[in-house]
Amino acid sequence: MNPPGNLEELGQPGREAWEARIRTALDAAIAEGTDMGVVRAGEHLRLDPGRLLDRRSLDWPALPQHAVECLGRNNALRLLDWTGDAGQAIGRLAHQDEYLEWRVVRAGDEIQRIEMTTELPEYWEVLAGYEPRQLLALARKFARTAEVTFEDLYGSLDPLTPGLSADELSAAFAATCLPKRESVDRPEDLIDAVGSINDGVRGLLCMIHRDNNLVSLFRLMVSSLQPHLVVDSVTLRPRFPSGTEAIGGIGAIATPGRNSDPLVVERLSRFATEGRSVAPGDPLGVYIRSLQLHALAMPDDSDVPLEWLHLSRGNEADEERGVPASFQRLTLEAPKDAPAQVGDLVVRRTGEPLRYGGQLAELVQLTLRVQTSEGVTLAPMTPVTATESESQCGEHRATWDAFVSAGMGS
Amino acid sequence: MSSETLQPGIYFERSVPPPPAWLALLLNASRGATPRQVSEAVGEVVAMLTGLQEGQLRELSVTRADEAPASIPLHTFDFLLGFGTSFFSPGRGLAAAEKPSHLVSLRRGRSAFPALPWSDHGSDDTDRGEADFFLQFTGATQHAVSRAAVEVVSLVNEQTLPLEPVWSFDGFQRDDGRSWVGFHDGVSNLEPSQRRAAIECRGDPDWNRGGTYLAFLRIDISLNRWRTLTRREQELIIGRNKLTGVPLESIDEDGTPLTMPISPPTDASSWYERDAYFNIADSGNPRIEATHVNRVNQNRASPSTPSAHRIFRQGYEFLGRVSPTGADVGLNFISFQSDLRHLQQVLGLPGWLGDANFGGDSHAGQSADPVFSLAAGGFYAVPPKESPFPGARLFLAQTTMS
Repeated sequence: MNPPGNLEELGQPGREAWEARIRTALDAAIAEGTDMGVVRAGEHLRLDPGRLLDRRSLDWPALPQHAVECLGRNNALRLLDWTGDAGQAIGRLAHQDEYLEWRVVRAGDEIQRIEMTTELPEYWEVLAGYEPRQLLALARKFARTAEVTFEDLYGSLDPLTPGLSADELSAAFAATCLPKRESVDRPEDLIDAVGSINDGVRGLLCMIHRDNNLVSLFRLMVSSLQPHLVVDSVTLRPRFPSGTEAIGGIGAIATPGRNSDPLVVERLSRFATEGRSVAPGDPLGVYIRSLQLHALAMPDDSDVPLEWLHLSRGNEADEERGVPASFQRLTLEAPKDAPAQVGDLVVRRTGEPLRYGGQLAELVQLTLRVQTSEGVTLAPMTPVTATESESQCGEHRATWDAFVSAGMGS
Repeated sequence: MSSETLQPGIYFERSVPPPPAWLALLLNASRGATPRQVSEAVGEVVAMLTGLQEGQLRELSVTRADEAPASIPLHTFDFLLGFGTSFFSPGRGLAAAEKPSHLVSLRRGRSAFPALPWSDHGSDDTDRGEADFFLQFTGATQHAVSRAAVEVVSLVNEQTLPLEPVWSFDGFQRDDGRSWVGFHDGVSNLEPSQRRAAIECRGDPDWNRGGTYLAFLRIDISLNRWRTLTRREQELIIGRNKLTGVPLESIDEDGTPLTMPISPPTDASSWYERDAYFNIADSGNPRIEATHVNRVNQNRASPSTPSAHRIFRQGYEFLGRVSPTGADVGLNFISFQSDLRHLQQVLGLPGWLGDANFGGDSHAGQSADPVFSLAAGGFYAVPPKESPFPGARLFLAQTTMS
């Protein structure tokens, strides 16, 4: 398996470590699925695409729909951009849960730029373990300053000390730059353990939400790949279940109400019912498929120039070789001589000025690519009565209450 | 399956197909009228229409004691009332309610949608589909819906109500299940059990919970341009066999589109074959995926899955002017959706309809000679049922304009 985005920054040991990491995550997801009663967990999911020739994309908008559904769009936009006193991204850690996270850089109240990433934390752990100098260079590039040090990335550990193992370096990076979930629950406390180089204060390296990682992605995929049919309540014929019906019906480890989870569950459950084998696309990852820049306008209602948009951490499309674009990072920023800033832009679909990162996320389409076997062999099964699974809003409302208590809600 | 809250005129129940005749009447509130005056005017219009449904025509009212009432056929039409972007404009001083976030004018920007340009009618009159109020009439005959619209205009004029009719549009259902481009239309609409999930708003703003949003796009179709394409080219734009409606699955070495190995469904068809015919199974073939029927449903997911962007379509064809150069034909595209974002995504996303005029390969810019173009259009909130009329509580409760 190639590294995410077909990036070429890992040497051979790092690439092997990444592949091992993928295998470990998949095995863990299968074991967990089996323990939870997922029938034939992992039977349909393979890592090697081999003869799986049908390429399919599962696409969804990047705006956290669950937050919108629970809190209303206006409140959700504000909460998702909630930062602490020093600028730590509390809202991001709590509820940016669609496999994309963002950082809004403001000068006063005006947005100067918005950065977005879909990069998996597990990959950054491998990078930290095997390529510390590359890690430092990237961190300095994203923070836009040379004043980032190894201490910002590894804590008290000097990664250049001879004899240190890759695992030790990875662990030090994780301890310094990723949240620790063992002891605290409140996002406004959890964010304090994430280093400023990744918590939004000085930079955005990789994702930190508890579900935006490789293990969760495999958990979602494995638990979704179960055959399931329901009886339609009107026609009384069998049909494929909706995402929320499948989540309830097969016990998929997924959150109803999101843009991502119900879609993945619905599609993968269908593939399993059709008897298809599935492999994640290579390179594995969630990618930024598009930004609808035409939905933004300059103050004079002209289109936003393409040069405002930067896609990175991935590869361009190669149509001749049939390789799709696979970008993991997006930055929206005005060039130096531009007559306006990002905060001056207007969102055409709502008529609103661009004030929140979520308004941009609403225009970003993410993609998870998979490959499947051809042909259909329907699993012999009896359709069951459909049961919808309801989305729960308790966690969002609790965060909103904390947001209001912090004086941010007015 | 019936809805307690949705206004009539949305035919989502399996056993109730849309009636053949359609007419939309757009009205603005008169400048200078107070919110209360406008609200009362709308109430009078709704009351009149309700009476008309019961056979009461004002023209035929009894005027002498010895007269027996005359009536007209009953229940010949349905109507629903929508509220446009301009109604919520703070400058109008009409609305107390919060404007839904994605209820916007389609005038903004050079093109309402990136791959659906405005028609070139030789005028800049691109706001013809937008008004404060949208009255949709659907009925068994063109006369029934026309009479309803005429009675509204008559009432407004005779009673000097503070409403101004600004535009009307009409259309019809075909008898062959096809559209002007010759292909089956409305085939891959939603499963009956899932339609309400696609249609009904779940809140945000809360006042529209149980209501819906209506999108009206009057789409011109250049038959002259369309009929220059070969049948093969047409099929690779649409995504179905032109004669049978069976979805395409692949393309052979000669470039001939090949259909799925199924037939148009009958009572004897398996559920899977019916599903493949109506819901277009994902082919995995990039050229097939670029066809219209695949583009509009890229995610192949159900309405209750938000990122499926499913909408409920209920369109009506139209015939405009006939001239020596041809006939102006098109589609009054009407969709109902729980959230206007869904239609905006379908018409904006690359790979969906954001980078292709209707279907086929994507293009970097708009075609100089598109087959489909937008003649008029607007978005409307369609509030849930309410007394004395849907949306009554949206009005400002004050007697003077600010």
